[in-house]
Amino acid sequence: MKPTISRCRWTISAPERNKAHLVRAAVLGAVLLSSVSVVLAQVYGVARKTTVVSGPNGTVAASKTTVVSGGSLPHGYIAVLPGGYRAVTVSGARYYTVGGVYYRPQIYQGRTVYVAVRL
Amino acid sequence: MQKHSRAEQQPVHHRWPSPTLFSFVVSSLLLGLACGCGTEKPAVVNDPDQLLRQMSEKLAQAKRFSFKVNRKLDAALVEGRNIPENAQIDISVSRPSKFRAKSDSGDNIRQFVFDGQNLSVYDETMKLYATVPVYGTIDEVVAKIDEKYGFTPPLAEFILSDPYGALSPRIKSRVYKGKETVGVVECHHLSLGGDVADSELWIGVADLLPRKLVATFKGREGGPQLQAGFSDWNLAATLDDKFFTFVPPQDAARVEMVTEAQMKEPQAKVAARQK
Repeated sequence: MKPTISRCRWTISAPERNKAHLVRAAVLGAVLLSSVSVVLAQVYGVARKTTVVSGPNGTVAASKTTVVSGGSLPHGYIAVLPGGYRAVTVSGARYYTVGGVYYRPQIYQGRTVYVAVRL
Repeated sequence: MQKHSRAEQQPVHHRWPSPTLFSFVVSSLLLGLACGCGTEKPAVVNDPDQLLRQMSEKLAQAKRFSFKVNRKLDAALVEGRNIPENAQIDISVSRPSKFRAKSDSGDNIRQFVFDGQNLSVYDETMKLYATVPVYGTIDEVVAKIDEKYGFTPPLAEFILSDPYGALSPRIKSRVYKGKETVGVVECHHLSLGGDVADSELWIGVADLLPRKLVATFKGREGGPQLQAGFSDWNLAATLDDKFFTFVPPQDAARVEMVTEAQMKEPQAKVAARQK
């Protein structure tokens, strides 16, 4: 006598199938319509970044706040000039040059930063 | 055996007090009830939230005041540099719309001057300054420059019109740790837990002014700290309006104050090129 093996199959009725489609559509919609906003603010003068993921109806899906100060500056910016720099004035504006590279000073987040520029 | 009457058996101290004392007690009780004092809960001694409020009120009431802060920042909290910073900061405030702060960290001296209409940042070391038009009260300006330029004056929370309102939303837990001495000042020690930073705050027992703050920032390796020691409080400072007007020195050059949005532009371009 051969053993009988019963095979279990997931059978979904038509109304349940429709429901599953609706759930998938809702999840997809939430993913597509959700927005990510990044807000910078200070704690005792130290920058913090709050990333908020909002759902399609404005609900907050996720929120995370971290300290961002001390991170590297954007590409091309430096906080301290290399040694041996000298100040030059070009078209009335002050620049600094060292090793053939020119830097334009700017104030960013209350501190002086320098961005490499071509003159 | 001789029996004594009940009156004779009653000890002396159970007898009614003198008429004068009795009337005093009764009138005190009646007075207490009339004031509603009898129904009030006893005041909570050393309630951390109450102490924070009292500190805030004390600062808010001062119209022209100045103080000094010795601020130590761990390297991880200093923008663009990988070294700790120890700065002496002098802060002067004239409510509602003027402040001046000078930060001297040895290798760099910076000034922040707000006269009610313009905010100037002056790098005294490099002889560079930037001035941008910003109108409003100190509260409004701190919020505006935080949003647009990504910074605030040093420890701005303590010069706002309602420091409690600025600090409280960030505080998730408050614990009173007892009395401790900071320098020579007896202080209340509060432990304030938050999402971004856990803070220890010492408030003077006698004057209710902040004396020391240690904030440990979360979410960063090693838990970098900001330490601030407050001193030289003068809540009735004589500060002329001219003191809050920035006059750039002749040898100083004007530079641009970059907004957060401007700073993100190149990054967005680089990211777009990489895709």
